[in-house]
Amino acid sequence: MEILNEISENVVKGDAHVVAELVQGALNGGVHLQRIMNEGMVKGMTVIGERFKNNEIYLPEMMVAARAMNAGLDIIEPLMAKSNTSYVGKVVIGTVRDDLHDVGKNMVRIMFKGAGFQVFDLGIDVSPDEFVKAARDNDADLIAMSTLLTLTIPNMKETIKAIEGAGLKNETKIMVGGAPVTHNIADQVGADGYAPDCARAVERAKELLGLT
Amino acid sequence: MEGMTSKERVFKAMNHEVPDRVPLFTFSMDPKFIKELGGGDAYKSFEVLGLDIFPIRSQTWCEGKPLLFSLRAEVPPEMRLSGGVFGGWEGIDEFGRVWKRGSYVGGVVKTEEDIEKYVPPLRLEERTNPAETKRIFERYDDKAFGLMSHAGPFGLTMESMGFENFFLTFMDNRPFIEKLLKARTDWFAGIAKYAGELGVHMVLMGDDVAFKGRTYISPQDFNDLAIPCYKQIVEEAGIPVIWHSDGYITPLLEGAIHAGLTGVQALEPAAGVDLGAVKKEYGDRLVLVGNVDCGWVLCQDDLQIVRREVGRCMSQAKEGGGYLLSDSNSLHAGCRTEAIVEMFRYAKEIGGYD
Repeated sequence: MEILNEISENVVKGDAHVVAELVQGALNGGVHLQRIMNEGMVKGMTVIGERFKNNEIYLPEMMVAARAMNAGLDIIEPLMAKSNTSYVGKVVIGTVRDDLHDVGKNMVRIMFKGAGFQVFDLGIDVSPDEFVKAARDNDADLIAMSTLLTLTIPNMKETIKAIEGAGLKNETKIMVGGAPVTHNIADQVGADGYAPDCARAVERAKELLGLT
Repeated sequence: MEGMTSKERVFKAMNHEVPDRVPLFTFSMDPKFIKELGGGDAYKSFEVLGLDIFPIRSQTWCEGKPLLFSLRAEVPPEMRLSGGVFGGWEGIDEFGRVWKRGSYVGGVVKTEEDIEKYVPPLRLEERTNPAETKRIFERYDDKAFGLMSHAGPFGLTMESMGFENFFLTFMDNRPFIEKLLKARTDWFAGIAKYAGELGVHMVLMGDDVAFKGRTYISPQDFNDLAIPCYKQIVEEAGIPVIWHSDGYITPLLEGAIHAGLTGVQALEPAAGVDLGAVKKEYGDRLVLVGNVDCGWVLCQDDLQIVRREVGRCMSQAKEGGGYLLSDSNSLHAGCRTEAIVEMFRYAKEIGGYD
């Protein structure tokens, strides 16, 4: 459908104003929300994710695409709850306790949203109990934790223990990432998955959730 | 057997000649190590570790509080989440960066008026304390000295605007970015020029422009925007400039050479920097400093792991000079004291040129 292609293309271009107009136009024309989401916005952000992964674009280009996507989401998200439209999955994301950095976490949030996930962003300095509560309250499929500091890697382990203690480990996958985190560290803290950057985080999440 | 002073050793290495052994350096050290190794005296701790370059800090302030260089000003643990250096910083610093419990959390620069407000006066003598600096020169007259400032123009432009605001403005209003970047460059060039007048041997310019696996903006954009700024700083400094950046900066090194930078420090392996490949490609034109992983290796109790890492760096970069051994970012609070001591001890043991 032409209007969905236009939405996708303008997400890639990063034209928020046009995306908002097109999304509203598609809604007025009776296009189903799920199609607007999947064939418009998610399709556009998938192109962005691939280009970012391949170093064809960098953070400025990704950020304007995300802004355009959000302009569309602002219109359709309030309507999604009332329709039979579904997200790909639900992700609870945050920077672990005692770490106040959020640049990396925000990039991962953008990519998850762009891939059609519903994202619950808990912000920075998030305690294990806050992760557990948000995962439980929102029936999360995935918990994603970030840290910039070597010092706060133990807090990832503590959070994972709290998730296990709350009986959520079997129903929720756990991913970790951030500057000092490696595959080995992810294994050591007991995470299910790790990704070195935001584009690969979505790929890994989809693998973990059986969505690929 | 060491046959050179630190100063001679560093000059040789920086001139891509072979000194008696690989010189030793760190860009920044958490105050807990200064307390532990030097009893609270930063220079004593550098001496204990056998460093060859001693940094002279160009001070900056946040709400009147200076950066820490020693534990003269004790800061409670809850005020130093990101390590000790920014401990106690809370509020907006003189560049417009926002701090909470010692961690950077955003930036406030959004308008032309903000540029005026948050490009601070140079206040050169207040930043360096020339009398104290002279005493340090006399006390350690065999050492090489570098004026250290982590207020490089590009990273500070991003941080003072807040990252998301910076990236969006980069696409929407490039002239604003260029204006702020120019003001930051003029400011840093003033610091760099003063470094030469102060009598230090080099400028240690902290400017974070990359992260794990990639650069923040494309290498082409970086070459267009930031490299001319570095060139100006190098020209006005009149002494060598060593550039410190976090992250994967390999795609930016050709530009760094073009700008006239003498060397580059950090070279984070965990971010994807391959020291051997960088040495092969750029080692004859750029002094390489760092690459000993501080994110995991220097946080370990097993010193064999530390020795293996030092050995790897030496085997990849030592040959022909032009290499200084250093951690891959800073000696942050998560590092182990024993690992730091062993890194430098072992580097001396195996770093000799026969």
